[in-house]
Amino acid sequence: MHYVILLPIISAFALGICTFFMKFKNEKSISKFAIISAFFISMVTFCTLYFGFEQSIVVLRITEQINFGFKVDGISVIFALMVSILWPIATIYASQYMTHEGNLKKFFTFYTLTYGTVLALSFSKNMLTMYLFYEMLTFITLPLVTHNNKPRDLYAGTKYIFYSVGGASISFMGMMIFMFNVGNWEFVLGGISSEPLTTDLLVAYILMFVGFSVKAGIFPFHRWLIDAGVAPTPVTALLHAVAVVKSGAFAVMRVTYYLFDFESLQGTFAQQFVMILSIITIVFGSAMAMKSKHLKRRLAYSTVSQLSYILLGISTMSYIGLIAALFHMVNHAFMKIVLFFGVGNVKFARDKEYVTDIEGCGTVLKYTFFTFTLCSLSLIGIPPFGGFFSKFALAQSAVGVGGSLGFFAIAALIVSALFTAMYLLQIIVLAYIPHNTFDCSKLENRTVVPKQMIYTLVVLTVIMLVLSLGANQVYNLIQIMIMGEL
Amino acid sequence: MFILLPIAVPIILGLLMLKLKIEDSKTRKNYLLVSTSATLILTFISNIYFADQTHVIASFPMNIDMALNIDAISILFSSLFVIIWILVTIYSFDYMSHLGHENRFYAFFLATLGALIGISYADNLVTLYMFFETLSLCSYILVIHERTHESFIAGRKYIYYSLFGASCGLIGIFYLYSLGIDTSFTQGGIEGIVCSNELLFYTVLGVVGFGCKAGMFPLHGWLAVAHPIAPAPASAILSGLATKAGIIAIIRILYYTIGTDILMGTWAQYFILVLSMITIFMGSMLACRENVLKKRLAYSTVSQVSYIIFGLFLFHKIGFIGALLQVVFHALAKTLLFLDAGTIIHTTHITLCNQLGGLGGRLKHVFILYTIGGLSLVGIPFTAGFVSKWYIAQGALTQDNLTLGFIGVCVIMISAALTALYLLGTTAIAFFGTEGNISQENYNVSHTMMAPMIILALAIVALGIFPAPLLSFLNTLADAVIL
Repeated sequence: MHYVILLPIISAFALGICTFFMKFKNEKSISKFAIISAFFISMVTFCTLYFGFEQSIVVLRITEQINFGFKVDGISVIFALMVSILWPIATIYASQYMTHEGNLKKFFTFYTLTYGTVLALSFSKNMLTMYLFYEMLTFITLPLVTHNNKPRDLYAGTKYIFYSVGGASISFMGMMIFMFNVGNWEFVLGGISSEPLTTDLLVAYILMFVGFSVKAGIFPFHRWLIDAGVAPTPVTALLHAVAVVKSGAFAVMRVTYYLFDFESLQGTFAQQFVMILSIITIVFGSAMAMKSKHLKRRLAYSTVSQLSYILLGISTMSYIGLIAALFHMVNHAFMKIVLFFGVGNVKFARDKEYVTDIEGCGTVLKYTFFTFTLCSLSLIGIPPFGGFFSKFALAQSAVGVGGSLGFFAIAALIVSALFTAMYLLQIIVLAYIPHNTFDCSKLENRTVVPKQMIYTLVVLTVIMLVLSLGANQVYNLIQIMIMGEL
Repeated sequence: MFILLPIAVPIILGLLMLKLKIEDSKTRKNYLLVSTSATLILTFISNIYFADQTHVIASFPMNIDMALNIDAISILFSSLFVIIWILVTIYSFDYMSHLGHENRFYAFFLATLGALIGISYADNLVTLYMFFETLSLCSYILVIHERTHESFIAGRKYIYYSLFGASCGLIGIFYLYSLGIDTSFTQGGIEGIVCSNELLFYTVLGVVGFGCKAGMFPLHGWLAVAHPIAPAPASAILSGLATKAGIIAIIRILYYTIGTDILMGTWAQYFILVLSMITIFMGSMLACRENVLKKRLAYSTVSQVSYIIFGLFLFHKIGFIGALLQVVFHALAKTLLFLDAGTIIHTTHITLCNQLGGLGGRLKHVFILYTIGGLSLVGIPFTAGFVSKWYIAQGALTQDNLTLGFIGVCVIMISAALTALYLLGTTAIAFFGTEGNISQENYNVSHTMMAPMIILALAIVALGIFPAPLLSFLNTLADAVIL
């Protein structure tokens, strides 16, 4: 029965490899196969989450300390649930969008493999297993980033590898220091050792935090995320707004709350350091997003900023901080993917990538911009959309920190919300209300966007709205998953 | 759930217009009249039959409730909003007909009404904040209606200031929620709030933030840019009514959340009093210097709305009554003045004050109405403005800190003189100035534009001579709020 945990991981890898070796009649059947496998894996994942909750399995035991294993606990349920709801929907979008870009076989092979890796990462039982899949995620997503094989794609890919592997090795140093001091790296909520924190351990913590948050785009290691925007939109949307960056944030959560006794981290220089780093990133990301005129780059900077909201929640070292961080992670996933897909639709329809080119598009791409608007309002944090509540929760956890750092954290949240409003409202207003000198005939020259690409946006927005109106339930669910019964 | 209707109906019917795209102007007129009067009726039914019941619309994590409640403040403000709204709507039909894109305009025009009623009905600060943001976003569309380069710049300024102000208020809300107390509005302040420097700081931040909508110094810069650029009906409601949204928020923070006994005599009180005095004086000075008619009126709003803030921060019963009177009277007078200015611009295409010479004879009725509005803002007896200013000055002189009270009265007097200069000076130019090179064609002002203005002017005069019913209502309100 314990083996049920392995099923989603195995089926994802198996289906991914099948995509590569099977013979398909045409490109359409490849996409069909990819969609069906994504749905299948998600179904298996749901079953695993239901039947395999709080079970664990060791796959390979080399020594007492070096072993690979999986388990399903509260935090992995939240993460896996988020990923497995998003993935099939995003695959439908990708199947249409990628007809433009070609080479579907390679694309969907690695797309499905990434799914398996992310699931494996979320089910990891100890630090070593997570590290393995963390590294693997970097390499499996590389072919997706460099999909077009143009020089700038390869440049972005190299940069991506360089940053990610570099970050992972920084955190590996931290892991080693931790291992020598504690001697065990199983994930247990509240940390496995109750010994007081030495300076060595605090340094190890900082190394692990910084190393893993490279994938979450923390300043000054955020550049790869911006350059990786050259990848096709489905990749940017799903990987660089959801799966990959959130794996980084997830790893940081695991380190902070499941390796260390997070309450004793409160007030240490390690906490101050990581908090300041996330505060800087929050403001920096939004400010840069406001500055950039390229749509995808703007959204990428927005991701940098929003991911640091999550890191800020984590760095408050409290239960409410973790819950707020998870809550924002879920909300942000659904909002940001809609924004990226919306921009993707504009590129698909008009082959335009800059903010000024979007003028008047709201009148022709109606559903796209309607969903874009709703999700933007949520991202800005206008109540009653979900984004407001997760920011509220984050601010509450920051108030809990107290002192000037707490105040700066809140101020950063507010300033960043303001910047977010600026850079998103600009797009919306331009799209719906062009200048009076605008020539509407410019809009006639466009490709028809396939229905599937519109429907996925609508479905995702509906989920976003459900998450907003059911914020109470979502919040309680996360709370129960993390802390047990209320 | 009935009290959700006056908020939901205008917002839904408004946004429905974006989808319906009514081409025929007659149908559109009927649609708007029906929706606005439906809102009016629903508001009055709610105000009469559903007062003093808390309705929780939705519950969210961290004890955030979206809750509505109708109390005396809600009744006062929501009635004021809907009555003036219907007048401005009638006025706007002719004015808007030449500007185009009326569906978009009216869609957000109606939604703005819904947001304003929501603000007056909100039962806690988060609900208030939600409608505040809705108000900012909806009225932003009204500001940029003409889609020129200037209007986009003005709109940007407007929305950034508004969002920034509301965010400052939100910081205060975060602090309040972190205290872990029940945050629904209570007369005289919520129990369990203890005075501390931190609390005072966040209160000031909240007041300055929400005061942005009321054009309070230092966040006043948007007002004189954004209000004049909008079409006249929108300027009228932005200046006359939307500024009052900031006032509601401040009343709710002071009298219904923190409590006056905590703030009385603290640095927070004196700080805001000084800020409001600066605004009163500065607004009038800037208005005197301004030559563009609508901008002059906008600066006048900056000055006049700060009278209200001054009155509120006296924490004295008479000052409070004076402030609420000023809310009503300024709304009436400023709406009238902006509608007047709109009529002048609509018929003559003249926007500068010093070019109005000789128009008084040809647009006699318009300028007489303008003068009545102006007299009221200056505070001449037998117009409404006199009563409110009298009360505010009396409040300033009867409260504890007499030095500040005297300075306040002086500022009010100087500002009144300046108001006379910049508002009645225009009348003087119009009636007695030399005629410029304006075209000799006959100017016609349609009845639908004149009627709302006449009603507003009559209301100003009537309330100036017979303020007793309103005063007795406000007396009971003030007795309950100020212990």
